[in-house]
Amino acid sequence: MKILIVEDEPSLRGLMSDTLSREGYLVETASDFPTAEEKVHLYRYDCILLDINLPGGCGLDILRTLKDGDRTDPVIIISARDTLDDRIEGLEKGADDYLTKPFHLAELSARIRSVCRRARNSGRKGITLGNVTLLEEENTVTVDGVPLGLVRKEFDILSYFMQRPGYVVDKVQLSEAVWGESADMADKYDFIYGQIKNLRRKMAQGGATVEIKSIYGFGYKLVELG
Amino acid sequence: MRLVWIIALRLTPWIAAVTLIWAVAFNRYIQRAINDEVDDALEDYSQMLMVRYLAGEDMPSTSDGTNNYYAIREVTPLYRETHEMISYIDSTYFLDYKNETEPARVYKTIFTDAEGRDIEMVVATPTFERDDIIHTVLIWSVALFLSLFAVVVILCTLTVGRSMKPLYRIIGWLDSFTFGKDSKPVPTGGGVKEFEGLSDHIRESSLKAHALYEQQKEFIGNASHELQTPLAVMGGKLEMLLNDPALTEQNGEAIYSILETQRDMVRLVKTLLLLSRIDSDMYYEAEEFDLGDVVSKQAGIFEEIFTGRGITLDLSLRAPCPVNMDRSLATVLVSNLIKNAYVHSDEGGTISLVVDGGGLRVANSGTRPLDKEKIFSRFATGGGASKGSFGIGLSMAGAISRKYGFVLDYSFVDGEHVFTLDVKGRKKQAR
Repeated sequence: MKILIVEDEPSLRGLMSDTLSREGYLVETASDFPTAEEKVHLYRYDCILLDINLPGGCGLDILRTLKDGDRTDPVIIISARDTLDDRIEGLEKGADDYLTKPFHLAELSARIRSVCRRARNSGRKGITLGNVTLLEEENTVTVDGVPLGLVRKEFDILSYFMQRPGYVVDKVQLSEAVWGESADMADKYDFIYGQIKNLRRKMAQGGATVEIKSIYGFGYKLVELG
Repeated sequence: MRLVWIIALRLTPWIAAVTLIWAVAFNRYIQRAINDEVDDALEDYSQMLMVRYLAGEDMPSTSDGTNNYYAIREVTPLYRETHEMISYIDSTYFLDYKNETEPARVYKTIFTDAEGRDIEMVVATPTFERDDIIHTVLIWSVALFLSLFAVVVILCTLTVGRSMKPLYRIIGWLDSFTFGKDSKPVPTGGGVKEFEGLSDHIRESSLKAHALYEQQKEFIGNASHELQTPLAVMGGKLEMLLNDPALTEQNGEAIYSILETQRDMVRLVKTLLLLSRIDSDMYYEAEEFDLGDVVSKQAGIFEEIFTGRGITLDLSLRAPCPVNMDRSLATVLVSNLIKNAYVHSDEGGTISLVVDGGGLRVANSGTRPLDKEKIFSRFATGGGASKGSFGIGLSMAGAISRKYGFVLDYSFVDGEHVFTLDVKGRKKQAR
């Protein structure tokens, strides 16, 4: 899968490029408006990561060029601007998703995955890893076709991990994602430990081939067994 | 004390002194004039009698009904040598017709008649009339002095008061001036040169102040934006390190601890951005809703988190609290108040939330009262702050309250920290 990263800041560009390469994507980069315009004109991509503030032009113009040319390359806007109006403008101009800096690398990966899934529209719904299939809209999880009885929070936790397989998710990141931004006040994370313990037990009992592994006490990672 | 009264008080002694000096001088002069007149009359009378005597004509009878009295007697040459030729004295004499002794002005002359005899003539006139006149003049002088004094003071006060009107208008404008809000134009100086100057200067200064304020907000906004990218890079690199399969436990903990700091910085930058935008209406849409909804939603979220420290949330929705504001800002306001209560709560304590038609009341048990002055200013942690708390939460709550005209107050009552949010802005009206 080919990804184009349009970002003028070299460290960030390098970071995104390394992470995505590691995941197995083919990565191309553009650090200014003319280069980006040229690349987009010459090639098709499976996903374009577009920074709005570029030297030599505005990223939204590239978006417009794509849409005017009836191109279907999925675009994720990456920007430091995080107001509602900015997001709405970006999405209305034709972007498929909007990611604000700073972001977790795992988040970037999850969004790309999600946007590509939608673009492929291969008829297979939901996320599947190992023998576990999670259906977002129906709030159900099946292991080898057998539904797993999860409570709301357990489902949310598993869903979060399934969108970021192989990425370390620390407890603060998890609590903010599942319980909301206010969770940053907690200094004891018992409420997370409890949920994860139950989730693991249910998955093990169901015979799942994926597991939520603890990482040194500060986080977790979803891995495939065997 | 007000300026008018100060001016009145300062003018008073001067006006009093001047009018008093005038009144005293006037009185003295009148007295002297009256005295001189009386003496002149006596002198004329005496001369007339002297002429008649020397001419050998009849002298008027002494009891002819007039109040004037005269007496003529011969004196020795020795007497003449030892006494003044002309003298005035105040004395008394006996009034026949009244049978009383009255005070009188006496005029004595000694002269020599045609036969060489030394004659002393005494002429006298009662002075009670003179004294009456003088007394009356005195009373009227005092009355005039007092009324003149009163009128001058009143006129001064009224004139000053009226002349100060443009100044009071300007002061009124200054009283209602708030940063970040559209203000009415500065009142003019009403044609008075000094007040016009004042008005112009204030107009200039307020424009400058507004400009500076906007610049500062823009700067904070820009700086915060610029920080986002390096923070993203930093966070990303740390996350990559954490994802490295060769990570050891020691490295992991160290790197995670740096990551926590990066997260704190991200949070701070986001808060600064929010603070710099709050006054602007550009980012926020107001809608009508019940604040109680926001409070119960936040209470639900926090409840699970707080049980880790054994803290219970006690929510009481007594009545709907309608507000008209941006819902996300309402969420920030409520959650900051709850977070703050959490930070200052002891283990196993209770945080009580009460919502009624007037607003929200957040209370939690505490040991020492917080410093009311400091807690709403930025970055004052006041002790007991948990890691990652920059003490900016309350000032955020304060900024949101100010934007919508709410009143956020703190008091330490019965061993409890109590924060009250008054959405009707009642306290402001009572000012």
